[in-house]
Amino acid sequence: MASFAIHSLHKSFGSVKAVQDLSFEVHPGQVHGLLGPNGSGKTTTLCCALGLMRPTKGSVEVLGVSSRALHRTRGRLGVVFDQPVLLKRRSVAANLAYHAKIRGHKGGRSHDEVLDLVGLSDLKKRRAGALSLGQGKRLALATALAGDPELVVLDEPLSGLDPVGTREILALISKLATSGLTLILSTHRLHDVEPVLTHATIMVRGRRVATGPLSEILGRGEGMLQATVQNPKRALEALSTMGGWQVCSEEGSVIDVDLGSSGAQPSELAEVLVKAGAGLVRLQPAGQRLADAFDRLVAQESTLE
Amino acid sequence: MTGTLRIFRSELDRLICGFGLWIVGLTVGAVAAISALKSSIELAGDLSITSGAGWSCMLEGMGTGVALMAFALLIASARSLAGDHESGLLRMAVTRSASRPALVLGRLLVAPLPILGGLLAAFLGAWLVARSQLDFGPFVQDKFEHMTAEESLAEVCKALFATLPALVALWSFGLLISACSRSAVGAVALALGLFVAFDLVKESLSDEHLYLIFASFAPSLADSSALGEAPKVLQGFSDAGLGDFVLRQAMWLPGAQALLIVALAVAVIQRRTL
Repeated sequence: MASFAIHSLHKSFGSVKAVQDLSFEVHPGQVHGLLGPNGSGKTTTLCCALGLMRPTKGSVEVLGVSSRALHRTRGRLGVVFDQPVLLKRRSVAANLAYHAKIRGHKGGRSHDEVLDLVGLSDLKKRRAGALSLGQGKRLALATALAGDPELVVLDEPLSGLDPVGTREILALISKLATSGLTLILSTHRLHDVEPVLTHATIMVRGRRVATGPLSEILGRGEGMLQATVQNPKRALEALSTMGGWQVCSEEGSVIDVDLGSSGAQPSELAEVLVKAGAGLVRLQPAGQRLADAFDRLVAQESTLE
Repeated sequence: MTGTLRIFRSELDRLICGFGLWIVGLTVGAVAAISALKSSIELAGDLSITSGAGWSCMLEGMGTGVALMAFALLIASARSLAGDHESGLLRMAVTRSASRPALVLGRLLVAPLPILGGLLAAFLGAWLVARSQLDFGPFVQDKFEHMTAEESLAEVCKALFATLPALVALWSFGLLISACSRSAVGAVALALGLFVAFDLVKESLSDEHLYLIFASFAPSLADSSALGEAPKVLQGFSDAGLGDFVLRQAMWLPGAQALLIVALAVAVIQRRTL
């Protein structure tokens, strides 16, 4: 049974369609990324899924329970929101005790274990308001991990963090992932989360453009080539005349081209660029990073519209 | 039900561990003491009263303390749901263990603590001053015993019992405003604004209806009804005191209103985005 299942979710705010016909499932043990640019509907999706907002249409089940009755999961679900939910005047330990009262579920990890896990054992007595943003996020994660959650949802876990804080949180997520916990991460920081994800759902303008194992999503980019040229303007002009080829991204002198289903060979692309006088320096397979796959999917979505 | 109890326990924990309750309690006690002191100076100057002036002095002080406490209750209850919505605590609670109705009901169950705590603080402040300045014997004026000590005590209890339900309704009213608001500041401002509006409407009503309005949730009226009338009774004014009908209204009407208001607050919280 899926730990988290969204079926044909729609959410509109007046005439604005924030989420359209979204469906995906997260199974136990997965680290699933809900990815998309700002405004793509990730947070709205999570709000509907967590029962904070009524969907216009569709249904959501979390740990076998409808999203409007998540309290019945009785501590099996942990959620970390974008802004850490903490009692700022109380100590780190008192915050954990307060959240334990709300959770009402006994057993599982003790407060000491969970503080040790997130690396806050030394700051047990410090006021939550005196913690740095990164430490605050770790404490928020600790409140979600205390007890015995089966599924933890993290909304924008890296937002506002500096590189050091980002590394700390990612290391923590990796540690949790290896322990077999099911995790859902909503973020637009693809480059950062890519190493920890096993699965992903990519959203653009409220629609799902891809979902599945990360390897499959990355695999869809076969046929992508990266050309480094001296004259990008000429190169782009030449490429625009080639049917079936698509320029996925362009950064200075580096252009990513998707030969897609045209059946063209890399040598043909090189020939076109040389003939156009673009000054081809190098042609190589484009590195299949999540960010590249994401750009390609966004571009495809734009083309379809 | 367990969700309601969880919210109740966590709110209780916050209330007791926070400074707010203690500061308000001390302030209410101090204000009640000052008011009782003022009343005791006036009563000590009335040479016709030879015994039992302590009762009315204490109630005068308590009345002032309770009026201040009512303001504090309104602010605290109006702030509760709206403030927790802002900080994200409501989100946290509904995703972990509490249903939406439990968010309201758990906070309603907490009401007796600040209400009884405030009453106790007002009582202690006023009683200590009245005890040090005056006596609590039978009320004697111009060598005539108007009331025995037992009768005076019964009047004091009656006035307090008539005040308690209105304070619970007041707390519920604050919760409703809080459930409807998006920010704590907005909720408190709206609650106080409505409170003042009620006060103004009350002034335009006849005496009989005024008492009925008191039986709702406008706490400043405490001075002009049960807690306001009782000291006059204890000073031997024959035209003072609440009639049985008005007293009955004050006993049950606020309770019924509190239920209605809480039902409305639950309906609002069920529908809103958290």
